[in-house]
Amino acid sequence: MTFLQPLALYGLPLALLPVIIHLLNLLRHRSQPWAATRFLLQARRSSSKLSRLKRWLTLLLRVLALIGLAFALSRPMTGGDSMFSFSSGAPEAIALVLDRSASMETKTGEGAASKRELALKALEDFAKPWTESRIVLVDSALREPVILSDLSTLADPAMERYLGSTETAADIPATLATTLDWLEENGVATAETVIASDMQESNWKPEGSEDVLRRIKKVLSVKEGSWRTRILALEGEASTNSSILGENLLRRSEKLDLLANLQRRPTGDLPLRIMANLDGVQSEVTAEFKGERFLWRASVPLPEKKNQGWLSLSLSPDLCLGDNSWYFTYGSANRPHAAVRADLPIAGRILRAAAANEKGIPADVLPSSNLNKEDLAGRTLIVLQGNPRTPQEAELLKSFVNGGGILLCFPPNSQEGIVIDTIQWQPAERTSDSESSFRVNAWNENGGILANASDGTRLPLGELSTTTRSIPIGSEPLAYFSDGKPFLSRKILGKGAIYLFSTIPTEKWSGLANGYILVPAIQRLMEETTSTHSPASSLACGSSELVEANEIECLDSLERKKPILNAGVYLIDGNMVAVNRPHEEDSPALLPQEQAVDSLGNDFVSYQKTEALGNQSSRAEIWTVFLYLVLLLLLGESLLGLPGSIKKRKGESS
Amino acid sequence: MSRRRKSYLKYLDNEAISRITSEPLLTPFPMEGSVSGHHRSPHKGSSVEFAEYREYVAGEDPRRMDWRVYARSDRYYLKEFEAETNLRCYLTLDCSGSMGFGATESKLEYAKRLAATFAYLIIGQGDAAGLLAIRDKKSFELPAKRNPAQVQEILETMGPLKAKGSPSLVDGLHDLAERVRPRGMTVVISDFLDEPKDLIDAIHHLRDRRHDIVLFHLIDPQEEDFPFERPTRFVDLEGAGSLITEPAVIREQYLESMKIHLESLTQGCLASEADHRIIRTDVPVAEVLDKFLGERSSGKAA
Repeated sequence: MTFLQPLALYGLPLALLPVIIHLLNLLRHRSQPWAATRFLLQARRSSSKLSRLKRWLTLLLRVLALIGLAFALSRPMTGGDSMFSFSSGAPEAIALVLDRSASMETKTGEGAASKRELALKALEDFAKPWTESRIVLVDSALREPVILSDLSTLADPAMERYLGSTETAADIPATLATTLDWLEENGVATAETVIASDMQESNWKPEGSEDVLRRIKKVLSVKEGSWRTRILALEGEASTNSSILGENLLRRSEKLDLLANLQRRPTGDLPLRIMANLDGVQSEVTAEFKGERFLWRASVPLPEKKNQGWLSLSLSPDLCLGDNSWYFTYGSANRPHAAVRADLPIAGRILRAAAANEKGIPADVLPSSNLNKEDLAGRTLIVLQGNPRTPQEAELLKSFVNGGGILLCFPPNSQEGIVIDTIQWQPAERTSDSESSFRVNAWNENGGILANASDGTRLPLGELSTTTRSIPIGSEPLAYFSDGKPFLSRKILGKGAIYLFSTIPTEKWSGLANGYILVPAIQRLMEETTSTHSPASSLACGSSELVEANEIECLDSLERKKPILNAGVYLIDGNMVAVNRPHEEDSPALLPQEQAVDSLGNDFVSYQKTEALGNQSSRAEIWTVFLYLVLLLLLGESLLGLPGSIKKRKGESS
Repeated sequence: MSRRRKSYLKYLDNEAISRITSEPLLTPFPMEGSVSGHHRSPHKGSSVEFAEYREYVAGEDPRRMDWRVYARSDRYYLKEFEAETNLRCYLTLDCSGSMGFGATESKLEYAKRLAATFAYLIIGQGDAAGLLAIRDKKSFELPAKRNPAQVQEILETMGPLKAKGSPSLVDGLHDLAERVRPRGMTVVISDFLDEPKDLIDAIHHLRDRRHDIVLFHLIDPQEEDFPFERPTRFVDLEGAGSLITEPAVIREQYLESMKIHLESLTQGCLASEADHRIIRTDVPVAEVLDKFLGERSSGKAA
């Protein structure tokens, strides 16, 4: 409870007035000579407890009535953090932190407002009573503090840029940090910060934003409660929802092969209608599946041979609009050539063959020494068996990967050479006898380069015989031998990645040379690099690359969309880019209340659940309640005096 | 007549005297007087009022024998007549401290007016009146006389008395019952703030001596109405200290206690055939005596 006129609370000591008057009356008693003292003594002895209780109760009611009056005059408000907060309740500034991520477009029921709209309403209601406070809005998409002249601005269509729906992800810690920075820069002494969010864990980034959160905690702690933070949690799921999440689009010569994750709630067996828009030509396709999730593969014929184009897929509108669309771009079918360098000639030949392009032309050969930048120009996949010869070569390969290239490494035949980044190879290890071998028994069959084929056929990894292996150190395992050591590892570097096999496709090392595993793995890597490096590409909505763009043209819609806020297909600085919501927006994980409060520091942070929205909306002056209370107390006081008077009258009449 | 003596005449209520001189005071009980009077005597005498026939017993005076009855019945019978005698009235005045209370006129002053006027009426109808003023275990006694100058004596005796000291009415009444042998009328004028049981015992004692007892119970209007509102310090007139209280809080209990006290006294008096009269001191003496004498004449009183 807070008070709009806390000065009136200085009147609270006046509540003691009845007690003081009572005591003064006792002090200024008059003296009366009396004969029938025996009756007085008897009366005082037999004066019932009820009669004394009535007397004290009357006094108490008078005191409470005055307290109630003081409270009524102080114009109390509901919705404070504590039961009573004797502050004016009018902070110098009110900062509204709005989560505008795609998931905030969820509606909890038919006809209901989206979480973003509910948040705006709650924020408006929260700030409404404090007319004298400055109001600043910081949204998660732009992170630009916007000072609102008054709350009616929230309904201004011109504010759509700062309040409208987006397909972005949110970084709540960064947005809050921006808000606190603004408060600091503007010398705000007292502030109320309200974070309206759906509490999606990926937006709160408890892991990965430790530094920012630590700084926020420190700032709030230093302010010792003069800056208070409220988390307004907009929980609740859409009861019915369908979503599409694009996985991959491959350009074949005359068709597009697309892969997308379809999901629906509740589970059903009806076909899902999908509107496809290929370069502006709309068509409807249906995805027939049963259950909740489905990895949908489809081919879309290309009517004309274009070097590049785009495809959008849209589901029918439902309770969650933010996950109903996905955009793809496609480029030329010609893949850039991969290049191979191998210490072992036999391995080199096998690897070149495995990395052949779709026309069957083997991969290029890199020079065995003095590798330079020109050798790697235009490449997207380098296959390397052995270590770089010189540190310059190691640095060159590292920068190739950082720039988005894929480097596929096989163990060196000897320990000579330079390591790339921090990756090192353990000495070669042979099986104890000639008949036994290292067996692969664990790998990801659903994704990655060792995934099952499109018809569900498993790669024959279990039958692969490995007699010699060299384990890489400093990378993340993707497939394991039966003894737990990695068969395949990966290390992400910058925009690219380094894949490492623990054996070499030669007869002496393993059966990889038969190609059943090696060819699909390398071909999948080449497909991956093709989609990444084609002139047309895909970016997450709101990503930093989009901020720096100069010329932007929306291709999929006539609306004035902006890639930093809305998903779509754009021509950005001459490149066609599909902008989609970030993958993490589809993560259902929510941040628990304790963790959310703890991440910002417990002392000056409060948490209000979805139900509190109603209370927040009903935040209003409640002085009338106190006024009625005063009237009731006075009525009670009068009633307490009434029975005695009646008896007296009866006595007189008799 | 000296100025002092003249001032005591104020206790004689002229209105009462003028209204009720024609009304004789009678007592329902036989009285033992020294001379002939209007009141019934316990002894048979030679008045004109026939009492009864009684069989002659040897040794009795043969002159009182009814010879006409002897002639008709051949038996010796005595014809007896009622003896009528005068009344001895003892006016007992309580002069304890509590009698000094009164909003306009103290209870003692009212009692003096009541006693003086009563004595005047008694002596005026040829009966004897005496005075017993009880104050703090000291008694001022004036024996009962039928001399008209007795009124003056009574006025001069009780005139200078002041209300003072602790209550000692009970002891005074017991003492009176022991000392006064002949049957008479005892008029007690007091506020009767003693313990009811002790008072009733004293009244019983007097009734055992065959006295006709009349209790004039004086109550000040303030005592009966208890009209106080503000916190008040009540100072006891009989020296029992003081009490600060809120009258509004204890009013009901006070009135209840008083009611119980009065009821116990009334019940005790009914049991012993004493005439208990509650008198508010704002009621004129003439009205009180007029009502008393009227009820006595009609036989309503105890």
